[in-house]
Amino acid sequence: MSRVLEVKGLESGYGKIQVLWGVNLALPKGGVVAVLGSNGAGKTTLLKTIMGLIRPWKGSISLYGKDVTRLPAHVKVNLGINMVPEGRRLFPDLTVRENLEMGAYTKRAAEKKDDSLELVFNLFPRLKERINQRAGSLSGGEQQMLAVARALMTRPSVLLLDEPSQGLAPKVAWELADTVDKLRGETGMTILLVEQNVAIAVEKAEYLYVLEQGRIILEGPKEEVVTKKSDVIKAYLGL
Amino acid sequence: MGSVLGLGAVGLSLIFGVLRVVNLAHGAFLMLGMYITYWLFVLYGLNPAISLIPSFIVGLLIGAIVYQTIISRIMYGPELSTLVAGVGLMILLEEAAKVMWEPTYRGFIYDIGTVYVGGIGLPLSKVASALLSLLLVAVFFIVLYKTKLGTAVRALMQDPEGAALCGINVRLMYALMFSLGVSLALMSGSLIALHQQQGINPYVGHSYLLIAFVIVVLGGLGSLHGAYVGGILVGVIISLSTLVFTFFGVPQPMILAHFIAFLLILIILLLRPQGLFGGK
Ligand SMILES: Nc1ncnc2c1ncn2[C@@H]1O[C@H](COP(=O)(O)OP(=O)(O)OP(=O)(O)O)[C@@H](O)[C@H]1O
Ligand SMILES: [Mg+2]
Repeated sequence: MSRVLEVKGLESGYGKIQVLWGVNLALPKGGVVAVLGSNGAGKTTLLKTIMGLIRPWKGSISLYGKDVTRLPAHVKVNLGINMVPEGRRLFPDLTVRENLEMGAYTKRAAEKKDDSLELVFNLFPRLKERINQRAGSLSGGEQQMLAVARALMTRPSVLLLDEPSQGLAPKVAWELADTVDKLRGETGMTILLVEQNVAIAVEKAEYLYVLEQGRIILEGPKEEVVTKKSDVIKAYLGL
Repeated sequence: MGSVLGLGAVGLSLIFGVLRVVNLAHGAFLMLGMYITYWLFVLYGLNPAISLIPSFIVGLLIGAIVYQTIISRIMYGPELSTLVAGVGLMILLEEAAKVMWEPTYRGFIYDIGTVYVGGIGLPLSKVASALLSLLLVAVFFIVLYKTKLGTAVRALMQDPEGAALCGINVRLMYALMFSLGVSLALMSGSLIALHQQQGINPYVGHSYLLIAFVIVVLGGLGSLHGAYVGGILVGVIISLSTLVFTFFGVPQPMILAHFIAFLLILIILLLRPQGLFGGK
């Protein structure tokens, strides 16, 4: 299968502190890939570096075969890649509608705004009911829906999700995880899912990476990783 | 007077709210605006209202240059570096003004008549400057709340990372908003020139820097409408108490009025430390 996103030898960090040490990762077109790892392993740093929110120190990132290593986030968004960040990063004093409109900020996204709104309201009818409510006043689950919806408004073909289940009740977490299936089914989106909830990751993804201390220590098709390497999985993730 | 002060405070608050940078050169920017109005009036007889336009443009230019050469390099560094840079810029601008225009006070009179409201004489120039500042602030808030650009600015104030993920060019926006904040300061200076009884000199910005900070804190740090309402409040307190003190023949009514204003603000902040419109 053709590779939509390819990361090679990626190194980055904060100030003088190096967090990522030569990460290699690839996303096949239309696939769902998960990155697992314990707290502080560098998962968020990896996604932020891929998005261009943190500058890579070394290595390369290519999107549809085009080198995008040094591009800042707002440019990458326009190339069809986006991320649902850890902590959601909504605009709490703006309404649900305004948050979604900001997702359609770029010219490319603005042209498809009505279509995108229909898509996200189909996916999350609850957001439509709360359209004029302040984002900050939504429940945790609704805020996470809005975060996903805002990212979808930018019309990505590659979506990075950073712990969408964080802080949610199991039922709500699974509801959100189910949107992963809908997205790949309806839009053929390529998805990179970062999760600490191993059950969700294993259920939704077909290929797994395990990141520890900024290095990929294990990768492979889901079945292989879960069965053959179960000791490692257990050791690192307490499955 | 309050409305004019509010305009400048909105500029200061905009820069703080969007960039999280405390602009200590704010008073020096006001001073530049005053000189622009002064010279254009004295040399070319230009209507002070019209001089708002050159103040706006000069403000944008200076703002863009200062952002590009100084702010963009240090805004992510320690807070102290932006404070020191602000003081440095203030000294630079003031000393440049002193060399070019001498340290003496210069005043001008722009008399277009007086209206009487309830027996109190109000110079029309002051009424006009209040209305103009109100108009400018109104335009500013309409853009902020009713346009896509304005929504993007508010989004950026609330979460820069979220804004970047919406495709907003955060650095460009910072440059624009810093320039606009400086422009608002210069325009406020242009209008304050009409209220400046003792005239202007290169150091006239100092007291306004202090007042602007008090206003911004009073309104709630980073709250834009708070800054404007705070400006009006401070202006009204100062004007009213000046009037009362003058009526009773108290010596130096202006200075006492400032004292009263700061005292009242202190009391308000003791009761409501987050400011009038600040969040928790
Ligand atoms: N802004 C920052 N400045 C300095 N160090 C940071 C910063 N953010 C994260 N780190 C450090 O980088 C390392 C990796 O953090 P990261 O957030 O990428 O981990 P994570 O795998 O996403 O963890 P979690 O599961 O808790 O979200 C940690 O040691 C963390 O302390
Ligand atoms: Mg994380």
